Amino acid sequence: MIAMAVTRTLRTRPGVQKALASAALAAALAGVGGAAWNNHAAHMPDAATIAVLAQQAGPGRDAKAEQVLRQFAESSKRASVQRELGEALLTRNTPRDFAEGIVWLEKAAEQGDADASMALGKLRFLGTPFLAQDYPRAYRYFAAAGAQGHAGAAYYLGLMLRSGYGVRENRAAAARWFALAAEKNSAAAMFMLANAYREGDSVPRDEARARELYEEAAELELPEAIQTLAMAYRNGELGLAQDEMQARHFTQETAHALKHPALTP
Amino acid sequence: MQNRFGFLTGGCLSIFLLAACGNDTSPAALTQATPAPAPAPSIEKGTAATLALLETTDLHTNVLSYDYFKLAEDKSFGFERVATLIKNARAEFPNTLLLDNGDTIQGTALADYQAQVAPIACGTTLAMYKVMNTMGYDGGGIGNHEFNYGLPYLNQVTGNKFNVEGLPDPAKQTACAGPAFPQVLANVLSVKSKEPLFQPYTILTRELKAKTADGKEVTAPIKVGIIGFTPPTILSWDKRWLDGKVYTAGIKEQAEKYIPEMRAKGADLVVVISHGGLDNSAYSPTMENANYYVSQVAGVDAMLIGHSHQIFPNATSTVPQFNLPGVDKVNGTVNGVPTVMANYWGKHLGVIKLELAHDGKAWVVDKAKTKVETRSIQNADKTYVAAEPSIAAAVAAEHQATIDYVKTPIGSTDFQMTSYFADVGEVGAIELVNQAQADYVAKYVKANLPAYATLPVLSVSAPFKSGFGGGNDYTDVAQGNVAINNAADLYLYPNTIYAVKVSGDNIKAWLETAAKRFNQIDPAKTTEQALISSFPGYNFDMFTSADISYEIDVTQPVGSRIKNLSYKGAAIVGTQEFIVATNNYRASGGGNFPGLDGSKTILAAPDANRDVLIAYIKSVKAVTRAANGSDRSWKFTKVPTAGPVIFNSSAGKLAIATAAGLTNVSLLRADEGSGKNLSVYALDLSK
Repeated sequence: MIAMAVTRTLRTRPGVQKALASAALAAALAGVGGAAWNNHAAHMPDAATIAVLAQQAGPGRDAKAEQVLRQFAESSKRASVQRELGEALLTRNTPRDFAEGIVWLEKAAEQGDADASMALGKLRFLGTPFLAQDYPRAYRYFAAAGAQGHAGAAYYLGLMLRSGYGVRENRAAAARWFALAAEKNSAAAMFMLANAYREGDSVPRDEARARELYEEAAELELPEAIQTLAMAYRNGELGLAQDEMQARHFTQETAHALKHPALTP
Repeated sequence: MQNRFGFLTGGCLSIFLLAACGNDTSPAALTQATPAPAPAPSIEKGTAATLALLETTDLHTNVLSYDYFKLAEDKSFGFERVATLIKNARAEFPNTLLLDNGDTIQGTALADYQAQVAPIACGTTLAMYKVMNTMGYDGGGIGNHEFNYGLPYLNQVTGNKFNVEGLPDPAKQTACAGPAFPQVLANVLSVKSKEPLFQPYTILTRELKAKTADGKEVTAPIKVGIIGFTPPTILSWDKRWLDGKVYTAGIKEQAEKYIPEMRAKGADLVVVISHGGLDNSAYSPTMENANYYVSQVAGVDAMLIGHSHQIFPNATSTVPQFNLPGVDKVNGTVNGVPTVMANYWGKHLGVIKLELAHDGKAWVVDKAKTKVETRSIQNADKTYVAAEPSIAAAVAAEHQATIDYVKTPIGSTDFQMTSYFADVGEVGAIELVNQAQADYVAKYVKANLPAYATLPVLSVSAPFKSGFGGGNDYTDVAQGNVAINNAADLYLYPNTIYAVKVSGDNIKAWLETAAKRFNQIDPAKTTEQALISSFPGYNFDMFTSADISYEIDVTQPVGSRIKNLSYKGAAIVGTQEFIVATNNYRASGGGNFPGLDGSKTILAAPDANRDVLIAYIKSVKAVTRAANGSDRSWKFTKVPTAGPVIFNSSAGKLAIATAAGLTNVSLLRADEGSGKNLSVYALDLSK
């Protein structure tokens, strides 16, 4: 308690604030001052440093970090940096930042950056207050990223093909995309694929495989997968013996995971 | 109170005595122009000591071994039992440090009661922290669940003065009662100040009970630095509380920044308290489980981890995170760093035993002698260790208040709300849920989604308890008072409320899928035909509103059964748009319903359907059959059958069907024959 009180006193001292400023930002700023960095790849901050700057510029609303990131994006023209800047701007959720963020993402996507294509595809797929839903464009973006094996894009390609959003419905192709995304640890894709195996929906019906996938997704804290297991233990489904203790355990874990679910790709 | 260290007695527990043992060094404290600390008394070369780090994690306010939903003891978890393991460990090891990994203040009705129902006063210590104070914790980390109730609450109960938007300037705040041990968190920063929300680390100075090389018992000082991390993903999970107020820094980067600082300030050992598990996919500053990489930061002596509700070390574990290269699940090391994860809810205590020897300059860990283990509150014979009695005594008032709250009538019902005949049209246990969901979503749309304001808001729910487990596996809330615990009978699962925007076609497909609940009936068949298929009751979604109506024709094959679907008297057009209130499970693809895959979700509320139901009952106060339990949206298409159509339900409940207005149900056989308290009923489809 005493120690914390001292911390608080000191937080108000500007000198200490400066001392506590992120080492990564300091390093990045030093890079800007160092003029030589854009001629030598070795001086370009690594991906983690860029990601730290993006955290500061986006969720941290740090103007200085944004400026540094923007300089890196402009001078390096690197797709990964353009995308980090674009995503940082999107998190700020204002029309102006959003519009600019899209421009940076598009630049990155044009260079073949799969994460940028994925981000643009998702915006077009779901639509936002700033950008209308557009299935055909979403599909093109996902296809570009999916061709590079991007797990998130593969999941969305699966969704679009499963229900025929802007494309011809093709549930077998959907299952293949879900399988690819599941291979790459996408809990949401595991869940969709598990549902398909459970129902024999365009794949051979296989409850054991379904259960494995539900368990894998549950391990990744997907609440719906954990709940599926809770229900299965309660009702003796998916080849499981009815088990009240396990049902309770998984019900409790469902409640727990709902506070920090596996994020949708 | 146990003695933690030789002659350091329990006096540190009192707030007033803290100054007397204020030998913890925070980062800021050392930057102050205080006189340099007196040089440490020289420790004889060869002096040896045993230090055990004790970890609890993911306690989730399970102070007692008690299930507030069942209102019954459950000995399989509870801080009061792990407290016994703590006492035992203190008796066993000469020196211990007791540290908590976080996810501490949320997770039971007791936690909700203190945070939301009867919010605790500034001067009151949270029940969970109170008993941790009783046990004399040396330090703690912060988990993601600590953020579940928002920043002002976290600020209050941890006795902090956060410098964040939404709270007064720290100079204008009064620190409230908090834990009597330091809490550390290095990777969550305030947008306003750009500084860590909590102190990132602290250095604990302790006197070790030690032995010199020639066997003389001595005490010798040691400085143990503790640094804390939480998953950066809190920014998504608790966005409503955190957006624009705090952000995260990379866990590895913060470790690389602060650990050398801790060493420079004299830390003999550095213990990482990181709320998270292991993940060896490419490092990112925003990754949820960064500890695989933290273990590779220079200067980490031990890691206390958590969040995954798992046990580590665990030789038989099959979870992927404990089967990575560099992870020794038998001996409990991650890239050589001793690491422990102590399960959850006080089921286990984590122990890292370090053998220390002083080489004349510094304490050195004899790595070959390090022992990592978890200890269960369950004995080998499946019994559980006894509870530490001081814990229940300390929280008796809070515990009783929570029980009273759970039992408090929140309203009343003029009819018995049951699901015995939900399969054939009884809506008494479902309509209230649908009303509560529709009310919640309609209000949300009106306030937040003006673009959708003209769309009708409907709701579906299913009979979660529909007899699979026998005649007692049904919802049954008696006429009279309704209490909080009855809500768990009306809504079995801990789902959160979601709303989807769907078309008329989507609704029809949704109902066609739900209607798989029924076998296809052949009207010409003269023998008995079972009505109910193997399709689970929890997927038998139905509307229960005067506004929407449809028929289910069970003589037709799956996919062609929904007839005369209409909204306010007019046939529903395929392209017509609706908002439907449901739960996260269904909206996100649970049950494999066509078109329901997460993409139609327009509201993913953090509120539980069950809590929405509780709030609704509180608002209507008097639940009635007429207003809340008689709107059947669907009926079976009438068809005469040559033979009986039968189904099972709980024995001797025909009067309930009659009271629900189901004139087409009759009792066929009082005893179904399985010994599960079921009767066989007949449904007359011609009526």
